[in-house]
Amino acid sequence: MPEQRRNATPAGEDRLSPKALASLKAEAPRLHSDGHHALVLAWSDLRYEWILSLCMVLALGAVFSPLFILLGLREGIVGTMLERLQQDPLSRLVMPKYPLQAPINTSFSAALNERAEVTIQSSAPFLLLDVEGLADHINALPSSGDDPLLLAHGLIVPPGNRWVVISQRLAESTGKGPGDLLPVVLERSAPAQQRIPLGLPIIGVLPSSVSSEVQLWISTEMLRWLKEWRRGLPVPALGLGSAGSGLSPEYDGALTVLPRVPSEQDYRAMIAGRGGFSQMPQPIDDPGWDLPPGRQARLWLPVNSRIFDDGLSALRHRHLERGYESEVLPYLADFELRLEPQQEPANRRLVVLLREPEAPPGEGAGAHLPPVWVSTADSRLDPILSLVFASPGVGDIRIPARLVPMPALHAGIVAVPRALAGKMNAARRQGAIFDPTTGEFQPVSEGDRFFRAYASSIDAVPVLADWVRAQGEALGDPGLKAPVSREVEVRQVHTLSRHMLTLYILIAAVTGASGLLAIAANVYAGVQRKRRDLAYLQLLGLGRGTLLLVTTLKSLALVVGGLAAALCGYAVFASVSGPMFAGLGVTGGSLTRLDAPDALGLVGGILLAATMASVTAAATIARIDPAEYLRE
Amino acid sequence: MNTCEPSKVEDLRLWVQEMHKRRTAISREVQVRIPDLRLARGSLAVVLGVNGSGKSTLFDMLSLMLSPDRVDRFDLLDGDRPLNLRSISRQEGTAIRRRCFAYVLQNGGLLDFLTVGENIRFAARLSGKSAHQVQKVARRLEIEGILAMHPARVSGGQRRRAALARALVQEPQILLADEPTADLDPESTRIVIESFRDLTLKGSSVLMVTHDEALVRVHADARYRFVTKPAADGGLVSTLEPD
Repeated sequence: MPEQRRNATPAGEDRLSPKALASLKAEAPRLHSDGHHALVLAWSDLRYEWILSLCMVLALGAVFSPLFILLGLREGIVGTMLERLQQDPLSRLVMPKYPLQAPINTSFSAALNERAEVTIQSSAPFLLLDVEGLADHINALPSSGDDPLLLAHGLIVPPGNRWVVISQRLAESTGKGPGDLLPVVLERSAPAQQRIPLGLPIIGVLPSSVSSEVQLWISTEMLRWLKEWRRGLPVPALGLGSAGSGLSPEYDGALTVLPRVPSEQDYRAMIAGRGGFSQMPQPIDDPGWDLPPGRQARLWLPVNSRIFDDGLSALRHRHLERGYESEVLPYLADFELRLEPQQEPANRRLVVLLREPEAPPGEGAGAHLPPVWVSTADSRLDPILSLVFASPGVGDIRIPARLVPMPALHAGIVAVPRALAGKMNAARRQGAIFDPTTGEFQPVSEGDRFFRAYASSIDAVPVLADWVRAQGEALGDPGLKAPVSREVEVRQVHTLSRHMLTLYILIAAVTGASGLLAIAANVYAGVQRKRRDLAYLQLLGLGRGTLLLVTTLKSLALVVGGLAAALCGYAVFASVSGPMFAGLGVTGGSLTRLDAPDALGLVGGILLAATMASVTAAATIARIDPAEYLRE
Repeated sequence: MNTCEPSKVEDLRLWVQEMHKRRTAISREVQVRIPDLRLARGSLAVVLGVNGSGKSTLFDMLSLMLSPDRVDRFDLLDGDRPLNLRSISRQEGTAIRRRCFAYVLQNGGLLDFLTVGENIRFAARLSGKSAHQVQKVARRLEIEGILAMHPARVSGGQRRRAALARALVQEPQILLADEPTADLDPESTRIVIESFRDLTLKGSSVLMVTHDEALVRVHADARYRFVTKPAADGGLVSTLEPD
């Protein structure tokens, strides 16, 4: 029907005026709104064809259910994994793989603090402590008052450093809890065996979800004190004095020199179950000096990279037990030093001699100085010189010595008495200063060589780890090059989340398109089926807009019913599937999770799309000529 | 012979002049012409004609559901105000149908998904009339027992009376009835005609399209007939003439 009647209007003749039309409308005092009529008609039609309506509701429910189930699965699986990571402070932790080669300086510390939410710097990643009544050493980790791990469990650290937090297993092993004193025992072996009790007040117990091991946490300051005391330094804060004797000799391995090399079977017997060494000894061709005729040398490298004098003796006894006579001497790995005044070659290798000759007494100013044996090829060196090597965190150490030529030494090799060599090796590994008056090396504080940095969120973990990694590359520090974190797990969860979202969108697109086509087809079919009724309604005085509203309301009512059916389907799925996976520990008992905002968002989106589909299909009402269908 | 063809405009309810519409019927073109149709207030006018003569076309044009190809006058006289219906919009036509017209179709014209009672009450509310008299009208037309039934479950005669009840409850200015007594028994026919009369006594006008000559002779106040003749172009011309 044309909008306007196709007739010529003689000039001057009035059309139906808006006033007349408004007057017509005003004369109907009890006219219900057309919206109300539309609601009544829509509901009546649905009720009349209730079987068809029910079928459509169930069909839509079957189409929409997978959308809710998939959304619930994604939120449940990924959401639970993310929640676990977000709630566990250790998920945000980034730390070096090994202690740093150099102490942390101010600029590095400032840069790290800028990028991390909380940084805990310590002198070591851990310390092994003894607790009275327990046979094994206990792992002591550094912590602080702002440690998110402690704060997440409601633990408030008191002022000062005398406190300890213990693991659940340690609490069970000792029978101690908050308010009790943990009986820690401090022990060191140089210069003599010392055992000092130290009671630390327990301020809390961390659950087994944090650590299933026997473990404890102490302040970074306390850890530094205990570590330095073990190294021989005094700790006035704890009333503990220094060891007094300086560094003890330590070596990187042992050389055995023997006329008859044991068989492989004998070697295995010497190693198996004995501790100290785990690898077969290797032949060494050039110990730095001429081997005695008929002798062969073998190099033993210890498990923990250090061996002391008692270890050398024990190794000799192992040979004797198998019937082998062996001379055992310490070995220094790649110990290079300089001689001053500077001479070529610039660097020389330090070794220990098989048999230290009686060195002639020094003369004059060098009388009290220790001897340094050099090859006779280097005898042109100054008789008094300094041995120079670097001690970490301190710089070069200079040891005055007196030159003693030795034919058996190879060129570029120097040797000193083994005890001095051992102490020099110890000073090469840890910071120390040399006291020429006593000839001893005194340890110095090594500074912080470890940190535990908490990123601000799990999303910030990869960024922080990348920065630490970059610092490791720039500084050449292996501990920083491979930081320890849950970065991989975080990335995996995010990747899983992205993939699941992509899958969900694809499935939702296909499902949604199918559903919307079904809705539009249903509306279109309804319009065609009801064209006679639609013609009657127009005859009675309902406009096309109202008829569009009736048709759309009917469709939306079916969609709402379908959504309700879909939500019921989801509820059934959740109730059946949840217990099936709860015991597996995969999802923490929450296979699916559909929060109200997510559900409402999906419902709103479906309703919006359904409205558009319905209105589009219902617009075909405009193509119905009511006059044609009045008499159908 | 028309016994009540009003000569004064104020006695008129509807006045149509030179309304033309070209339709195609059984492979032949028919031009329907209404030179002059006047419907007086409170009168029952009847339009006669054979099948395909243009009765339904006239019905559709008067009910504003079909646009004529040409119309020189199409006035609805609502009280003192003449409403010119020659050139109105679809929305205006909807409002006028709702307020001024009621319809009784040959097949009833009831909505299948509403009960008979709901059909009647819905039309009353649409017209802004009270639904309180539904029971009274239903009683008079002897359809009280089917008010709770759907139209598909009642007889043709009952459907026609239900449609009539709906029209009566609307209290229209003009009632258009398309073959309202077709296929009805004499009793039902009597009820229908009596109802029309009651309506005219209240001031409404009834225009009935039918081919029941006996009915016309007895009850009509004005009579018109479609006279069909061949046209020069090979089609047919069907002209509404006073009978």
